Amino acid sequence: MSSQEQLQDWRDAALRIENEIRKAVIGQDGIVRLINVALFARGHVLLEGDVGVGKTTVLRAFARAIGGDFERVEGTVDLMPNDLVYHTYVDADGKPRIEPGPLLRHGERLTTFFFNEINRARPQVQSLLLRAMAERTVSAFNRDYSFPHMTVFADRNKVEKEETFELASAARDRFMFELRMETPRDPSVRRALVFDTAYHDVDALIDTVSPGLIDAFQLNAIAAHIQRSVSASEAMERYVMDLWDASQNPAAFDIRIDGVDMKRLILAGASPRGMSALLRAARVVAWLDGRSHLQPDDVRAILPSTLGHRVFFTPVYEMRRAQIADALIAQIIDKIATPR
Amino acid sequence: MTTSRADRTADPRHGMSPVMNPLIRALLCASLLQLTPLANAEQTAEQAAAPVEGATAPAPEAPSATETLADSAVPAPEVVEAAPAAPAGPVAQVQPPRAWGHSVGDLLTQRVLLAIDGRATGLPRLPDPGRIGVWLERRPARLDTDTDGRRWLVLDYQLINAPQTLTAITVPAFELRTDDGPLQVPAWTFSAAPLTPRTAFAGNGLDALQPDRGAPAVDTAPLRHRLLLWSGLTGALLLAWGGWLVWRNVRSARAQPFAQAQRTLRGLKDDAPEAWQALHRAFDRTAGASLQPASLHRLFERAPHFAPLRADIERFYADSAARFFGDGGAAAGSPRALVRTLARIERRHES
Repeated sequence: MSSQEQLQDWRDAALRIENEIRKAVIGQDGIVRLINVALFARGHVLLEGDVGVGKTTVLRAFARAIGGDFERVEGTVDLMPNDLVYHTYVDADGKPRIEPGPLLRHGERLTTFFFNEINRARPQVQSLLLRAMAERTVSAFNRDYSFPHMTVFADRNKVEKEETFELASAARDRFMFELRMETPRDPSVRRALVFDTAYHDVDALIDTVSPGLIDAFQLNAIAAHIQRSVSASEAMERYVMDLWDASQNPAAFDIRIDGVDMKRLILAGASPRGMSALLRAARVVAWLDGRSHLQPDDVRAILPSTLGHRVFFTPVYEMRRAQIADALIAQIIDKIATPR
Repeated sequence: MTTSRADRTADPRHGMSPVMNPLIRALLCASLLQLTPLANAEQTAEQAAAPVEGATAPAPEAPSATETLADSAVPAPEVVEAAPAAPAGPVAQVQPPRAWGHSVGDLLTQRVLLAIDGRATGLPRLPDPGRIGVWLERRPARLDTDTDGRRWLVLDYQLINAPQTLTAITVPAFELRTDDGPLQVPAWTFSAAPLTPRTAFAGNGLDALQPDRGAPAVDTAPLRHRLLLWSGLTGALLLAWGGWLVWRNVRSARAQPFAQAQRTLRGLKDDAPEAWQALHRAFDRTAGASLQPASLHRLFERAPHFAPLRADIERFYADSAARFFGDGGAAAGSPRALVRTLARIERRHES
């Protein structure tokens, strides 16, 4: 099978995954597409949203569609790093036993790791997770465990602020996407969610998704293949460089936001890791669109989810992050001209 | 002004009433032939009744004087009216005004005592006001009572015509219908003179009618200068304003995105990347944001007048994407042709 045909097959599979997910989750097509992109770009996703909008349902549906093992951890204040790694108990013979924790339990078969309410976990737990995300390895029992096929999904509800530990900027930078999942606005979708009994039983809903549509253990290889196959032209490179510069010095690109001193707004622009994540994701968007080259629209489609949490504001403006970040990204998209 | 006697007698407005004329004529004849002593006797009786009141009936010679004087070529006093007649019935006692020295506009007041044979009588109807001949106008009559308790009819006549020479004018005799029968008011003659002679000095520039005297000319030069200055300034201001308007319109028309792009493209070939980029910038400026195929709808939302060219614009974006971001395949479209159409639509929309 030629590499082009292979890419085409995988693309069909990727689109099939999306269609399957849409059976279980309605009114969140944008989120489904972006999670799919992250999956094929091998990035981790931080989901943020109101309580009960279906974050867990989306992730469980994905875990079922891509196959492999699924693990889920609830973030709490008393959760310690060790709780992820091992589990101690006394067995029936009265002997103490130590068994691998949720992170190690599945070994290399772990494909989806869902960390619920990550901002309730202590920074120690978060930093363990950061290493697992960045390197896909954890040291335990005097050896390294690796989970090369793992994708971390974390969620954070934005309602409560008590007993929470805000993610450090380094932690946020490791997530490819920070997705804001909102209650659907479309009246027909809203009515269906409330009155259609099919959406009331989550387990039955998940069961409608065809399991194991792809071989999850080939994802890394195919992701690398996708990255190699999609090219970026010179004009495209210039555009991405402009975007990066604009994230660091928006005033130079005539970007203005009402009530914000643009010269004092940015503490740090997007990191090189952030920009590489941006390009990885953009290439997947182009590939899903059936192209072998990047276009500005590919980048624009993922810019808000990729760049929004990677630009750090000075403390004065940090409190208004959500509002300013959206405006900033929208302005960057509007003001950076291409081709140039 | 100088009308003949025959005309005047034929005119019913003259004298008293048309009915009275034959009677008067008959009486005139009778008095001239035989009845003169009777008339004189009556006159004497009247004068005896009111000796203080002054002159009464006109002199019977008046008609002949009129004849002679009116026909003479020499400008001399003219007696116009004459209708002396022997009154039929009692003759009223009259207090006439002075009989000379009148001129146009003068008011002559005649007082007629309302008494027949010394007995006071009533007058149910006052004489009508109105025109009396060519010379006089009778004003509304009124009644007056003197200190002795006698009642007088007061008649005001105004001389309303200007005599050219000294002229005798007669107020014709008439009859008052009192409660106790008719009361005759005899005719009365007075003289009227012109205010000025017809020509005072002939020639020597002293003609009666002098040409209009020219009004002194006011010096209008400073006014005209000021008017000229201000209208010049106003004109210059209007011109400057109009010029500024035209200049601004031309400038803003030149600053329109596609007009600018058209100028940029003038020196470029269709396959020059600068040409494509210039057209992209024009689209971006029109939409107010950097446009890509996915955001093209913003262009048509903001500038719906380009909607008819939607297919062409989308093709341009597809060609441009292939050219700048794709495999570098040769783009077929012509940005110069497109910018011409776009600039034309833009111009039409702006104006």
